[in-house]
Amino acid sequence: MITLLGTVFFCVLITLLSYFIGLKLYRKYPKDWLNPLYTSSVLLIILLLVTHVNGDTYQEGSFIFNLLLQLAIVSLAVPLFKQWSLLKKHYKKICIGVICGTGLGLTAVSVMSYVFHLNEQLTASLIPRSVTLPIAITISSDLGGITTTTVFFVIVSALISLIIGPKLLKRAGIKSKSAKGLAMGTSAQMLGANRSLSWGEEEGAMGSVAMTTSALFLSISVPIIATVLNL
Amino acid sequence: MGNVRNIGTIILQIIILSIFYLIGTWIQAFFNIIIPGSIIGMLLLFLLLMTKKLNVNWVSEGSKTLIKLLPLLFIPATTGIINYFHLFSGRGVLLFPIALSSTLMVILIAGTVSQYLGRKRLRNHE
Repeated sequence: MITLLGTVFFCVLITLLSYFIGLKLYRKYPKDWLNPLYTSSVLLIILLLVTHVNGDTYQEGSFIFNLLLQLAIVSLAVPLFKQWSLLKKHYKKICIGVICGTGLGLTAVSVMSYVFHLNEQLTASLIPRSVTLPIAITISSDLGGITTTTVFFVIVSALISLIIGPKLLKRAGIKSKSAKGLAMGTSAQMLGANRSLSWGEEEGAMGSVAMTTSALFLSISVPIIATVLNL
Repeated sequence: MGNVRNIGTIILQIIILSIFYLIGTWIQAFFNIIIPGSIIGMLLLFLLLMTKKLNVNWVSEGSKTLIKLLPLLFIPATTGIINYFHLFSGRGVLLFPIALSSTLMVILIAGTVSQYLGRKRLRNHE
C-alpha cells in the first residue's frame, strides 16, 4: 500500500516537473516545434530511463492523468454549447470539411499500407489514428490492431499537425478563422482544438466541433469499411 | 481566501463532470456500443445545457481548467512508447512517412474545403 502510494506520488511529481519545464521553455521560445507536449514527453522519457523506472510501473502510477483526460473530453460540451449559434450557421462547411479530411486520411492510410505491404495488425493500428484517443482505441481493438501502437500514432499524428500544421495552413493561404480551427481539430483532435483556442474563441470552437464530428463519422464508417474490405 | 474558494469551485465542478462520465460509461456498457463513455457523457452534458436543465455556470470553470491542462494529461500516454521501440525496426519504420503524409493531407484538404465553402457562402450573400 505504501509502495503504491509512493509510486503514484513519484509518477505524478516527475510528470508535473517535466510539464512545467516544457511549458517554461515554450513560453520563453514560442516556436511550434517546441510544443510543450513533445518537449515534456522527451524529458520524461529521459527521466524514466535515468531513474530506471519501469514503463509499466509509470503507466500504473499515472492513471490519474488518464482519468482527468476522460473528464476533459466530457467538458468539451461547454465550448460546444457556448459557440452553438456560430456552429449552426456553419454546419454545412463543418460536415463537408471534416468528412472530406477524415475520409481522405482514411483512404491514404489504407492505400499506403497496402502498397508497402504492412501486415494487417499494423494497418489496423494505423487506420483509426486520426480520431480522438478513446475512440481510436476502441476502433483499433475491434479491427484487431495493437492498441498501444494506435495510442502512439494518434499522438504522433497530433504532434505532426501541431508542429507543421500552423505553418502549412499559412503557406496554403488558408486564413479563414473557422477553416484553420476545423483543419486543426480534424487532424489533431483534442490537441488541435486546444491549439486553435490559442488563435481565438471562434477557431477553438471550430476545433472542438471538428474533433467531435470526425470522431462520430469514423466510429460509424470504419466498422462498415472493415466489413466491406473483408468481403 | 478568494483563491481557496476558486479551487473549491473547480473541484466541485470537476466532480459534476465525473458524474456525466460515469453515466456515460454505464450507458456504453449497458447497451454495448462502440462510442466511448466519455463521448456519451459529453453528448449528455451538451443535451442538458441545450435544454436549459443545467446552468452552464455550474460546469464552466471546471471545464475551462481541464481543457487548459490537456497537454499535461496527454504526457503519460505519449511516454508509453518506451515499451514499443521494437515496433519501429524493419518495415515498422514505414509507419512514420505514412503517418506524416496522411496527416498533412488531412490538414490541407479539411482547411481548403472549408475555406472554399466559406468564400462561396460570402459571395452568395453579396
